Amino acid sequence: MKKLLLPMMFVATMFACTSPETKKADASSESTDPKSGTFTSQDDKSQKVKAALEAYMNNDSTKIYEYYVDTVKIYDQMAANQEGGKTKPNPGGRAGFAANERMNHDFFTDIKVETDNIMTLKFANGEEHTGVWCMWTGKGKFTNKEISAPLHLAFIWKGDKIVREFRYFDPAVLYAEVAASQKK
Amino acid sequence: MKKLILPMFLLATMFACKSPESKTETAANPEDTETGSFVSMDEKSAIFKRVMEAAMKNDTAVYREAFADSLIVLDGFAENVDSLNKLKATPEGINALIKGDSYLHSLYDDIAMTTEKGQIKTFTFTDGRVVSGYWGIWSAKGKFSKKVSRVPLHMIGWWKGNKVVQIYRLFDPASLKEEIAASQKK
Repeated sequence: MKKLLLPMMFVATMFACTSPETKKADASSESTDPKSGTFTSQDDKSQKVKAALEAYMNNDSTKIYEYYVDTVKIYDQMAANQEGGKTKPNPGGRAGFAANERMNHDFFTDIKVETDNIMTLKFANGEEHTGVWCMWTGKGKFTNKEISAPLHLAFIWKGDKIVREFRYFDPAVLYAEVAASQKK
Repeated sequence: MKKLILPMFLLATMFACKSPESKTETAANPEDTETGSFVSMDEKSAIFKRVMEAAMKNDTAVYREAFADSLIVLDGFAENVDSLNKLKATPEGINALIKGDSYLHSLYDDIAMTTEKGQIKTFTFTDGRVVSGYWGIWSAKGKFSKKVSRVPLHMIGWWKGNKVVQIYRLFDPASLKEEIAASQKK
């Protein structure tokens, strides 16, 4: 019996240690799926995006200069911005983006963006994207109307810098405020 | 010496088998409820894709298979935001969704949505929630304006079992409004 104990232990050990490996094999479809990975909401990149949104609410561009590359491409995902089957980036890179963000405060007061739904995706192929789903609100300086617009932002990282940003929203209320400003 | 082999073996086994578990514990943050994993080549992403392909062909029978009868439809337009700053659900849920998507075929020809690899992903949260997301382009040719529209579209579907129970759509509706206006002039 004693002679059998050691070989049995070997066999048991092999099974015990094979189990996680088998799970990896089951998940091998994930490794062949480059658009797979994990996500979290309390990581450093999610915190940076939150800080950038809070700075935007305060009309503070410093986080833009801290977190974005100077050649950043900002894509406003609107029907009017389509060219060759793709969205055209806004002109001006980081400086143009910062100027546009400040311009929002020329048209609206009390700008708020919800920051409780931010997640960072880490892809199997190494890409890192941060997503924000929120409501943008502000009070029009010209219409005096309280405005709300659902907003989705997607940030594409390279290292610890944002290289691209995609913004999905219905711009009608913003255009209405710009039009009202031009009447006065 | 022989007496030592068995205990040593047990110890070695414990260490060998414990290692991956410890790594998992280190990576997980118990305070982070918004965490999990995502894939793009799973069954739920494939169902999402089938619904989109059905929408292109105006085949709404597939909607009934994929969506719950009690489907909540949220369209992310500014005019749909209520006084509490929340999106109002579209009345009549799945029926309104089917009616609206069918109506698009009376306004447009060649309705298409890009379904490239990775544009649809399914997210599984550690607490069990499952959500599919789409990031792509909707395109079509207006029957009245004759203009080709390309509209970036983001959608999220929340699953309960094998049915989508809530769907959120976010896009710039400017070209759709223009086509509706053009249809009413003729």
